[in-house]
Amino acid sequence: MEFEGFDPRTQEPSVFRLDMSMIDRAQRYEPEIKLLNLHCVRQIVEQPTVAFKGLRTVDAQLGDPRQYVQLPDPDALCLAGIPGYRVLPDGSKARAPEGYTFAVFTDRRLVVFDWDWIISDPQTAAFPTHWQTRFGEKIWPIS
Amino acid sequence: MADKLNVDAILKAHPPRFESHPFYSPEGDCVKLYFENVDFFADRVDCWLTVYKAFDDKRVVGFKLKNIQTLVSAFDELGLNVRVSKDSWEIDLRAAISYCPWVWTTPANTQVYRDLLSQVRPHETVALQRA
Repeated sequence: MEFEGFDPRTQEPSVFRLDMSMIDRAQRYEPEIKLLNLHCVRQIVEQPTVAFKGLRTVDAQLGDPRQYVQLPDPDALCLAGIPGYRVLPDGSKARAPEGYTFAVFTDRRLVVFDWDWIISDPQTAAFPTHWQTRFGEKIWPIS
Repeated sequence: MADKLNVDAILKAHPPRFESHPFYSPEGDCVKLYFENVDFFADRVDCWLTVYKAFDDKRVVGFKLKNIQTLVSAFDELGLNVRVSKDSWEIDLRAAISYCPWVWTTPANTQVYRDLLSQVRPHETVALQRA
């Protein structure tokens, strides 16, 4: 499945992809809210507040992880922000939970491989907590 | 240009029907298991583990073991067996959770792993699709 969004690397509209096998697994094995949160995915990929490149980097303050930790996709992306609304299982719309930001994770081809609410940075609400150490670099907005 | 993500169409074609069952995500190279069908957020513990917590009282309602194939390879090198059988990519979840602190974590995080163990059924296994 293809859908439009904003590529923070080029600052241009681009095509994102979602594998239907992911949808199938979410339907069967993830809480109902996971698929409902696709409403948030749509909002964030269209207009992220912040974007990072390089996932699964190691927390520097925790030291060397005994050389086993690798960076499977240092070019993967995290797009994050606070959506204008979310949809609950009863079909109602609700505001974003306070203290949380919504993150969408993609590989370098803009294939979405996960999305979740995560704890916000206490200083910058739309940023994920510990963004300085869990991602490679902030690429959007350009500063 | 593609269309906007049509969430309503996805939900209509795939009405949620939750079952607590571990699964492997090849896109994220991770194993996930949810215990409850509730509204949740993700709380990153370390580069191996993210726990899912309920918004209402922050109890753990699921988890994600990340970089799982690298993790299993690390266990192999340490002589920690999590495979159901030799050369199998089906793993025992409780063994994998138990051994994570041997690879790398902090004392505080070790308690998170320990608490998680109590929620995973014995002999719960999941098959990893070898990349």
